[in-house]
Amino acid sequence: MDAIGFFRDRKKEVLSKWRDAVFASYPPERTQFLKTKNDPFGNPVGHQINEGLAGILDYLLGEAGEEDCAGDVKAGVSRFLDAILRIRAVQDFTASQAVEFLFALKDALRDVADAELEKGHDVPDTRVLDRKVDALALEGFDIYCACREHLYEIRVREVKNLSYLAMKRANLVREIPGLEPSGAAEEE
Amino acid sequence: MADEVPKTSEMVKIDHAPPSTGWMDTPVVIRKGIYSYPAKKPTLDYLSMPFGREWSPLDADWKLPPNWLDILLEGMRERIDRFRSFRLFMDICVRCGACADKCHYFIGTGDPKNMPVLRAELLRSVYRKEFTLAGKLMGKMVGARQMTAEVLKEWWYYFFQCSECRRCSVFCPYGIDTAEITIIGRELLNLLGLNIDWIAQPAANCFRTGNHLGIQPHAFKDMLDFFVDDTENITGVRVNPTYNRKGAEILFVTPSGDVFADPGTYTAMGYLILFHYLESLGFDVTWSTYASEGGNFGFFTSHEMMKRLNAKMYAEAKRLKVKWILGGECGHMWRVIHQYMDTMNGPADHLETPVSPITGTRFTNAATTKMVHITEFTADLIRNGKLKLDKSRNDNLNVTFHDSCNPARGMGLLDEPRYVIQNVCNTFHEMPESTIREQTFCCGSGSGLNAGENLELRFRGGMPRANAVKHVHEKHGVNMLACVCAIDRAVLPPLMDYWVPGVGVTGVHELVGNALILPGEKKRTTDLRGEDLPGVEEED
Ligand code: SF4
Ligand code: SF4
Repeated sequence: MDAIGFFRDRKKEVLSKWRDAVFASYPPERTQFLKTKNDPFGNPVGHQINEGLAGILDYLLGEAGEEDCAGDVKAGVSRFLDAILRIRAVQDFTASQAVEFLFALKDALRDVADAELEKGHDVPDTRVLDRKVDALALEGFDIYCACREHLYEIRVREVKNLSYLAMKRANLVREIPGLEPSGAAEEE
Repeated sequence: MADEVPKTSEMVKIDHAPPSTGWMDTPVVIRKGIYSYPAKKPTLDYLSMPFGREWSPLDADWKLPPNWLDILLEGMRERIDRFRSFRLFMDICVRCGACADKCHYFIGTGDPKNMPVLRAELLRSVYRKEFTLAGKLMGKMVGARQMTAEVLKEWWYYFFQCSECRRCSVFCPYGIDTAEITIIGRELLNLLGLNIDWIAQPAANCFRTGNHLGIQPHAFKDMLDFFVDDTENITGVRVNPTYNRKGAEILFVTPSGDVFADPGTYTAMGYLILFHYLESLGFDVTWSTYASEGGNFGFFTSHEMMKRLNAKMYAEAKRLKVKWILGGECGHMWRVIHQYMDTMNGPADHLETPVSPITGTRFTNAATTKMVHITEFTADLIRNGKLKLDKSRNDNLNVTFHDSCNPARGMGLLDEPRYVIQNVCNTFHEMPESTIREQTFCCGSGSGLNAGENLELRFRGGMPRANAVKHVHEKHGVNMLACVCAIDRAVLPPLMDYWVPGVGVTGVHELVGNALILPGEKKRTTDLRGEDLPGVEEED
């Protein structure tokens, strides 16, 4: 049996192990809420992560429905990666922590395979999936960086847009005596 | 499988789940991207607020005055006596948890101290220790704790992560309003000079010049003159607003964001077009270059500061001898008017109960404040068939409506903006029920948290709102988010840019300005943003 077929049969287990590992990266009070409240609007973060993980796994196992992504499976998985990483890019994660959830998929796959091995069952070579996960992780880094860049661009644009500055230049503003421009002292 | 290959989790050894200590024992970690810069000495001095100084939230020493604890506890004592609501909210919470997952900051950050119940508990624990017998005797067992400099830091960090939006109060069986607790919390912090710059500076500017940005009267007029030119280019009609005109019937006050920041400026053009249209029907309005701000950052500082800034609008109304005030699309201006104005500065006996000069409708809901919301006013005009509208001029827009927290939860303005939008636009879709009207999700940047340095906090807090927009964007093709708040118009565009690219932000009266047919106007080819109207290209 090939690895894909093997894990297709055990998709539920893989997904649940993976999901547990991902939610464990959040504070405990948070994990409870993220995992249990199934409401796309009341718990959007949990919902998007859940959807995203399932979508990525579908892609990995070649089960992504073409109709979900207008025939472009690759774009479909990027969308799921983006949904999760866009959230993690504004949470308290470093770059490696933000992307680590993709490597956790390897562990989930291995745990499931190991369990079968212990039962004395044949287990196929899973390296082909490892390589696919690595490729996803690399793409994940790109997406994470793009999200952070997006944040900085927005920040810069906000600062520029402060018409206040424009008016200052035009000498139309009278400031509070002795006051420096807002936030300038703290900028790095 | 090869056991010798270590697992990723073993290799990377990343443990970002924090230790599960109780919340009281988990020290506060102040993070960049979440906090806003502290208020500066000159601004605080200008507002006669105490203890202005240079300090950094990241330093161990916040340079507190030596007797800070006495000041703080005395401040609490005073407020417990003064505000029944405060004492009640301190006493009656049963920690049922109904509010816990209702705060957009908790939903977006996952930080347990952003659960409304815990946010309130930060203050309540000290209240118990200092002001209740059980707390004095049994301490931690009954959730009481000593006030320390560390606790103070925690207050500062978390009371400036609450946008005072009141969403949590909707779900509390006792009606506990955590926003009110935050308001008191911030007021206490202000006794020690611990405001944030983004609040203190606009408040000081407003106190000095009349608006948040410190724009002087001639510049204010210059800006509006630009809009007059732009409006003429687009409609062919020259509108003529008046300024500081004594004896006008109505004074118009709107947030200065409408005059100085896109896309609010298009809403300002909408007001100008509407006022011009109504002129021949007997509408007599003036703008003021002194009461040139509807927003009230005093509200985010202290009750006294809120009163001070609110009073300016009424003083100007008195000086100009107008009969009543028409208020623009602002958020917290309306909460101040609706919930506090009357006790603080009212009743405004020098004014009259507002009556629409065009329809004769008497706005008895504004009988004491004498101030009418522009969407109430416009909705009444539409209902009485007074406006000639061409909805198709908004046909490039597929609109949804974000209930801004203050008009929605703070004053119950839910249907008027929707009524107006649906009369000036052909395509409108509501976001899911649990994210609108009374249950609306905050933009994530309210109550003075719309600074730049705390962008991550804003984007996490705004995520639930953006998520609902994304839903209607994907499902119905919504491409325009309408709102009636200037802070929204400033902060939702970047929020959309990050979470839902392809959705713009507009004020309701920009849509009105597009649809309203001015007598004698030329054939319009663009909307108020200068973008081609639907169908124009094909005709060319
Ligand atoms: S819902 Fe009300 S009573 Fe329950 S924990 Fe929250 S504030 Fe306390
Ligand atoms: S008022 Fe709004 S921001 Fe503050 S705790 Fe309640 S839900 Fe959160």
